[in-house]
Parts: sequence; C-alpha cells; structure tokens
Amino acid sequence: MRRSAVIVSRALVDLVRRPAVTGLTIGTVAVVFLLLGLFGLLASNFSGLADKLSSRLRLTVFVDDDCQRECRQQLQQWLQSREAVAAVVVVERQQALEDFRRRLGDDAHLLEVLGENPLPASLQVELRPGKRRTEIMAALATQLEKLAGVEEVQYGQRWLGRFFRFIRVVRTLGLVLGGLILLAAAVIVSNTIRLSVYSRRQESEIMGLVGATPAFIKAPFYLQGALVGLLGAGLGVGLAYLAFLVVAPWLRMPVGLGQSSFTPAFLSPTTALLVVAGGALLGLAGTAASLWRHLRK
Amino acid sequence: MIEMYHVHMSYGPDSPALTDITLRIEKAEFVFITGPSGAGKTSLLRLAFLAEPCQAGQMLLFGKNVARVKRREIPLLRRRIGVVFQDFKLIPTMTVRENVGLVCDVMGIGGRERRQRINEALRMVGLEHKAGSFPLKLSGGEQQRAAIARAIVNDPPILLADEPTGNLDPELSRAIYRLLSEINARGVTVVVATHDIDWVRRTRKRIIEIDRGRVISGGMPDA
Ligand SMILES: Nc1ncnc2c1ncn2[C@@H]1O[C@H](COP(=O)(O)OP(=O)(O)OP(=O)(O)O)[C@@H](O)[C@H]1O
Ligand SMILES: [Mg+2]
Repeated sequence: MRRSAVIVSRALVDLVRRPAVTGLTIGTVAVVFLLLGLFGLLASNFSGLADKLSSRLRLTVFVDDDCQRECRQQLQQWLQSREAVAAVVVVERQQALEDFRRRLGDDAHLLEVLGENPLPASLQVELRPGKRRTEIMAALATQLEKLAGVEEVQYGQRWLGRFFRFIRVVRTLGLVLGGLILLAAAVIVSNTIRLSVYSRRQESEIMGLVGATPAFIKAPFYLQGALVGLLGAGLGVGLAYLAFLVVAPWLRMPVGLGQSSFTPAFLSPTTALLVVAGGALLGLAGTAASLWRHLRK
Repeated sequence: MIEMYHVHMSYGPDSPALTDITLRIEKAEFVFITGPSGAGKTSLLRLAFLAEPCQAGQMLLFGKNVARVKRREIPLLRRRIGVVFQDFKLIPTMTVRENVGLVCDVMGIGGRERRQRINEALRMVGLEHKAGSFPLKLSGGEQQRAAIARAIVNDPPILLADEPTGNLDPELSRAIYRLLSEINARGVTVVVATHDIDWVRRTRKRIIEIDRGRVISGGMPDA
C-alpha cells in the first residue's frame, strides 16, 4: 500500500541521513547481543553438562544381610511411591561383585585376595530429571536411614552439589547483568530515535494539522527502532556464532566413564530467531520511550 | 458547513480568546473574517479545524456536532478542510512539490494520481516552475501560493485561509483573491481571515467582523 511505502521511506531516510549514529547504535546493540549470546551459550552449555552429570546423581541404598526378599520389596515399594523417584533397581551381592570386577578390568585378580564377597546388596535409586538435587537426596536419605534393613545410604558426590550451586549463581548473575545491559541498549536506541523525532518535530506537527493520524506520524520511528534492533541483534548473534565456531572444539570433553561425551551446542535456529526478534522488540521499546517523552500529543 | 453557537475558547484561565461566538457559514460561501490584530481571527480558524478544543457552546462541522466526534476521527475531518496558515507552515527541508505531496501521503494517495493532483494544484496557483525549489528560496507571494496549493491538493470542501495576503503588495493580493474566488467558484466553502478591512469592503462578500474575541457583525448569512 502507498502509505506503508511512505512510512518505510521516511524511516530509512532518517537512518541513512545519519550513518555514523545509525552505525554506532547498531554496533552497540550488536555488542550487547554478542555478550548476551556468549553468556547464554555458556549458561545453556553448563546446564547441558549439568544434566549429563546429574543423570549420574543416584542414591545407593545398602541393605544389611538380614534384609532379604520381603524386606527389600518393602523398601522398593516405599521408594517407588516417592514423587522424586524414577526407578529402583535391586543389585544382588553377586551382581555387585561382578560389576566391581568389570570396573577393575585388568586388576580384577586383586579380588581373589578377599576370598569371600565383601560387597553388600543394594538398591540403586534413579531420580526424576527435575529432582536430581542434593537437598532432595539428603532428605530422602535421612528418611531411608530410619527404615528397617537399611544399612547405609550413599548419594551424589559433594563436588557435584557445589557445581550445581555455582551454575545457579552464574545464572542469576547472568539474568541481572543481562537485564542491565539490555536496558542500556534500549536507552541508546531511544536516544537515536529521539534525534529523528527531534529533526522531524515541525514536520510531525504539520502532518497532524493536515490530517495525519498519530499512528501514521509515529510508525516510521517505530520502524526505525525495530530495524536498528533487528540489525544489531542479528549482527550480535552472528558474531556469537563465529565466536562459538572458534571456541567450541576446545570445549569438547568426556563426561564420566567414557561412554557419554559432552559436545557444546549453539542456540537452536528457533532460539536464534527469537533472540533477533527480541532485538526488534528492544528497538520498539526504545522508540516508545522516546516518543512518550517527545510527542506526547 | 461551519456553525458555532455561543462558543467560548481561551488559551489560559484569564486570557479568553473567543467569547460567545455565534456564526454560520454555508456551503460554497465565500466569507471574510476581519478584525484588528489580536481580535481572535486565527483562534477562530484553529477552532474550526479542531486544532483547539471548543470549551463551551456548540459547534457543528459538516452538520456534525463536534462534541460527539471521537478523537481518532479528528484526522479524518481535517482532511476535508484545507488550511492556509498565517505563517505558511511549509517544511523547509522539502521542496514545494514534496510539501504539497505530503497531504497526498497522509491521505494514502500515491503513484500517478498523486503526481496529477500535485501538478494540478501547482498549476492553479501558477507555481509549476518552482516545484523543485525549497520554500526558503521563494518570495513571500510564492510561499503563499505554495501554501494554498498544499491546502487544495486534496480537493477539500472547506478552505480556511489565514491572512493569505499578509504582506503582499496590492497587485499580488488581488491575484491571490482571484485565485481564492476561482476555488470558491468550484463549490468550495472559502473562509478568509484578514485585518485588511478596507480592501475586503470592496469585494462585496459577506464579512464577519470580530473584535476582542466577540462577533461584532455579519455572523449569520443574509442578515
Ligand atoms: N498560543 C497562544 N497562547 C496564548 N494566547 C494566545 C495564543 N494564540 C493567541 N493568543 C491570544 O489570543 C488572542 C487572539 O489571538 P489571535 O492569534 O487569534 O488573533 P488574530 O486576530 O489572529 O491576530 P493577528 O491579526 O495578529 O493574526 C490574542 O490576545 C493572543 O494574544
Ligand atoms: Mg492571526
């Protein structure tokens, strides 16, 4: 439609007329989104790693020798009725020994020295993905230790707990810092748009007098904001991707006992698009702030 | 086309600009509004195209009670009223053609029709040769005619002109008056505000005389 063509050309003229300002604004938004992107990558990969590690966070309930079939069944039922528990597997003494032998590999002959099987039977308790937290395990362990037949409960290594706490701190910090630099970017976009609003002040007034709707007068400014945000965010995400390509090979690492390895991943295409759209939204917010202050009528 | 009954308007608590204004302007009429400087001519015109709110009394535009017009309908009403401002209000960074075309942009008129309308308006005011010039490079009379071209480019049924002969010499003033008469002859209601009473008396058109915000005479047609 004719009117949208006018809006687009008015928006572009302002951006092209001040190339330095436009470039700097897009650049600033790009840097902000680059930082956010890198941080997001770090956070999401950390939690990917955390997920991998946390699947190894399980409870081992050692039962005493008096606890035979019926006693174990009761424990198993009790465990399975817990909300946090995903699965319970019974490991017989014999099975435990076999597992241990397999782990020792070439050193398995050492077991011969023992003569009798020293390993107790146990219940391996797998938790639901959302529940793999040390607090939950600790609570479960205290309850278990009061039950008949339970000798000892072992769960998650201490350092894993610390690792998860670290991730939580990093995430919170990231959200706060991310919010702050997003705000700064919005302010910068808003200032850039204000230049356009200011330079078209008289024109906007006259357009209103000859019958332009407020929406028609404001639309080019919103378009400018959205464009600047979109280009900046696109550039930022692009740079983050380049950085990822460079750094990713160094981050590939094995997790635990060989079988699963951790491969860092970039934002999914959908997420990347959403982030770029977020840039446009940021630009719109900046424009709104600037219009609210300068074109109140 | 324009009716006001006991209308009041003020810019501040103790500066009433218009007091108890009652007047009626009919379709296709040519009316002068005269009065000394500060009488309220510009204020009256601003009221008429809804640039100022009507604070008391009743006003009808195109037979519609303005009090019932919603805020978002005001732009649509304004598009049916061409205004020549006392200070022209041409945009200095745009050529004459772009200034006139701005109204088409606002109306959503584009392409060939836009070009034709602009050319037609510029031809009527005799400014085709200055289409590419910037307002500040024009003489006062040329700016005046550019402002008129912008006011008529969308064929509004009402044309309001505020001091359209402001500082022009008598010859140019007559030319502008002829132009406005020509527009009026096409069925457009023309309202001209001017303080030049002597010149107006010679035209034998209806004169609404105001002073200190009040109508002195000529408020109703065929009084
Ligand atoms: N924006 C404004 N704010 C406050 N007072 C105003 C404003 N515009 C006009 N006035 C006052 O309203 C009164 C009428 O002004 P108006 O401009 O309507 O007069 P006018 O008849 O058009 O005068 P002129 O022939 O000089 O153009 C004057 O006393 C003026 O000081
Ligand atoms: Mg005036």
